[in-house]
Amino acid sequence: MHRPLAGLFLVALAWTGLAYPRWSEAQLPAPEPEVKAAFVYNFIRFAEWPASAFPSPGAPIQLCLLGSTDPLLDALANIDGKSARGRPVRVQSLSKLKDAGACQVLVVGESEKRKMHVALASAAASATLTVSEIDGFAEAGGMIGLVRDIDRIQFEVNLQSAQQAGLQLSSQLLKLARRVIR
Amino acid sequence: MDHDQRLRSRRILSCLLVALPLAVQAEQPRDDLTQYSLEQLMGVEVVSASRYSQLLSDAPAAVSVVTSAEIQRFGYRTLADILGSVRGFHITRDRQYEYVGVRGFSPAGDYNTRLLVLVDGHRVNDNIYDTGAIGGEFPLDVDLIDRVEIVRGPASSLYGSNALFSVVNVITRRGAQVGGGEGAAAISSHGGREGRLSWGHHSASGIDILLSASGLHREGPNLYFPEFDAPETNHGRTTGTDGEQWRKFFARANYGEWGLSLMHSSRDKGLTGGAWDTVFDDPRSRILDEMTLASLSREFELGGVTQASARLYYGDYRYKGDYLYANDDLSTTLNKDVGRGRWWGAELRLLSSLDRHKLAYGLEYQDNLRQDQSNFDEEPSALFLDDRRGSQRWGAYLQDEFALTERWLLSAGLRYDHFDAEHGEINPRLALIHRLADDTTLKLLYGSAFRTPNVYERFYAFPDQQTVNPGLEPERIRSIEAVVEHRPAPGLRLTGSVYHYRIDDWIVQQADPDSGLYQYRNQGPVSAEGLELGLERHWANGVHLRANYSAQHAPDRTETALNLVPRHLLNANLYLPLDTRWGLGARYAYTSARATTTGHVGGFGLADLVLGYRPRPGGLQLSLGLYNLFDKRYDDQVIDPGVPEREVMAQDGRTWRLKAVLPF
Repeated sequence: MHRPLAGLFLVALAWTGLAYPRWSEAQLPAPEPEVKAAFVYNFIRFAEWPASAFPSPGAPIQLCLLGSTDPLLDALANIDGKSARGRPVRVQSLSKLKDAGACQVLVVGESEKRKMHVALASAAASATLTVSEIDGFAEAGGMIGLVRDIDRIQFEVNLQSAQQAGLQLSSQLLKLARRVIR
Repeated sequence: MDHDQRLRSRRILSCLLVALPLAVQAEQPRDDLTQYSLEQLMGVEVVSASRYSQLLSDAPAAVSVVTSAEIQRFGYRTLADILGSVRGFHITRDRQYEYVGVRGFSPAGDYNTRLLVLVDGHRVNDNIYDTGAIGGEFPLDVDLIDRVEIVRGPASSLYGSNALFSVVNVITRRGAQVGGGEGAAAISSHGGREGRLSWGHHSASGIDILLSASGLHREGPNLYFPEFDAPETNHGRTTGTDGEQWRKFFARANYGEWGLSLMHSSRDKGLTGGAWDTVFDDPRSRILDEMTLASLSREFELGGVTQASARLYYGDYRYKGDYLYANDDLSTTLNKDVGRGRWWGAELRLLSSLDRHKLAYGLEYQDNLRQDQSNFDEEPSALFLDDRRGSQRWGAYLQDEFALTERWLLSAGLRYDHFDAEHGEINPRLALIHRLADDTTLKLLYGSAFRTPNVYERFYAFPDQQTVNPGLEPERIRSIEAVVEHRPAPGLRLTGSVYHYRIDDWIVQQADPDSGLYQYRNQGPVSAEGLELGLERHWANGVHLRANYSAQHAPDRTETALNLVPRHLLNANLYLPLDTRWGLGARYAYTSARATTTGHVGGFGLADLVLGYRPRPGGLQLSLGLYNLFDKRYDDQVIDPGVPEREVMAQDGRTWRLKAVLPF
């Protein structure tokens, strides 16, 4: 076929076929921060806190964000108000590092690499699930590190850190983790 | 422009115009990702925040990504080291530049013109030689790389000229990722010293800044060249002529939708071994490459479904070669070879999502203000070449990714390029992607690409060595490829691809049988077939293996030109975390035999070992790299019209580098 005609044909073809079933949404590419935020929400569903981690039986899960504006932290704001493990999830930004103990989940932004150790130390005293996309987070003592594998998101778990904090992570979560530090 | 071509370009333009209004329709809301299970999320393909890289990672092709973590773990020193580790790529060195061979093609005398190199989407190839810089002359320090995306196959349907074999997009680290000051220092074999100072910051108001300056100085090894083994040329031995120095500067600021970047680099390399018939063992022969790139970009949203990105850019490139020649009376003359390029351009890229279509379309314009080449002797002065030119080019493209059904995706693209006031090129691309199962994807790809002959190939001449060819035609490549990706378990990925490439009017350097003069000429057709297999595995204990094997079949020579390709390439990278602080990166690469002008050069296997120490992430990092660990003696082929009897050049034995990176 003549080359320009082939081109026209392709463009025309691209506009037809609106009656076909949809390409399933799960297979469409999605923005990285939104996918990572959805992972964080899933981690909450797979983690079990000791009852003492909450001030009252119906108290919300406090999800604290550490860091300045960052695409992941912005995307996490969207899970505010959703519920998990029978409790509402409250998203708030953490202004003082020493308050980290009051959070059930602490997400450390990429810009806070230098403060990561201080943050982990102040969260260590309480049952706080720590999550970050900082490279080497799980190795450094964080509980769940999000890692990018070409065009997919995977995660690494530091089980030792989670157990020390009294958190139970489901076996299904561990099975799917790319790396488990025991 | 003849009638037929004019008609063609009108049709292409009308296609693009039809697409624009259609692109501004309402989009259906995306599913709520938080309703997905972990398994489903792990299957979701992610796209980067940057629109430039988004276009690239969506390109339906066989893609490899090398991350900053791998650059550290395996101690990669240049972009060439990074490219040499991925399937289907191999590097050849001649102590001047580094040359990449991709999928069966590595024409002798090619300065990586078929590789399009981008930094954050900004074209790095210059406008005289089209060089895809990958060695010390690559304008960015590899420490500033966040990741490198390597897209195989012709991509002129999106990127225009040069995107023949591969597009290499280098994505820089953000200021937030550096988060303060960072210093690096290294010492290495052959008197190498290098240093870097960087500062990154992400302010609460959203301004992201990265500033960096770095430099390298290396004395270079003592070398022996058998072609000069005579009493009057120091028995072929030379000292201090293979030195290298570079300086690089990088600045980038992003604020909201605005982005500004500035890059400058200067690399000075000693010309050793009497290359190009220069005086042997004399440090006055050198080559200098200088590049400055600036760009201002803005991203914006149109009608809620269209994301647009506009960029204004400027480039300046300078090449200066000092070639010291001996006269008959034993006096010497310094010959200067100069290339001077300057250009500016503008581009608009748009991305629209509507229902099951994802459209990428845009316009690009580049004005080559200077494309000057000159060659002259200093004492006694003589002018051999003074070629001054300028040119313009523009292009327009459209690509649609169309979800046909739940499991079938069709991607079709077309680009029109106009250059030199008389030539037009149309390049289509077609991809059919089938998801056989959630863990298996099959891609069938057809692509085409072109490259216009550059001003060096057309107009460069040097007495008794090289002559012009103003009538060179553009070269064209067409390819078909099948790719399978299989992810049977988390952390395990298997890839396989088979391809067939055909190049018409291939632009290659060849010697005229009568005059002996070198000239770039169109040749062909030439074709290549190949197979690539890749395996990547992350184990739960942190061990990471990446291995690949490539078999490629292409002619060793066409008429009188040489193609420096091995039949087999094997690469294995293994990272072993010894504990949370110590890690070991081991690498093995095998390259099989390749042809030389009259014979062949044997295959070789090289091993590298890098020991890394990082007491805590975000803190001090130390690494000791041993390259060519077993001190293997091996050669790469070279073609040098000035030293025609030289067909191979011995490469470095064991070398090392000790490096420290300290955040402050």
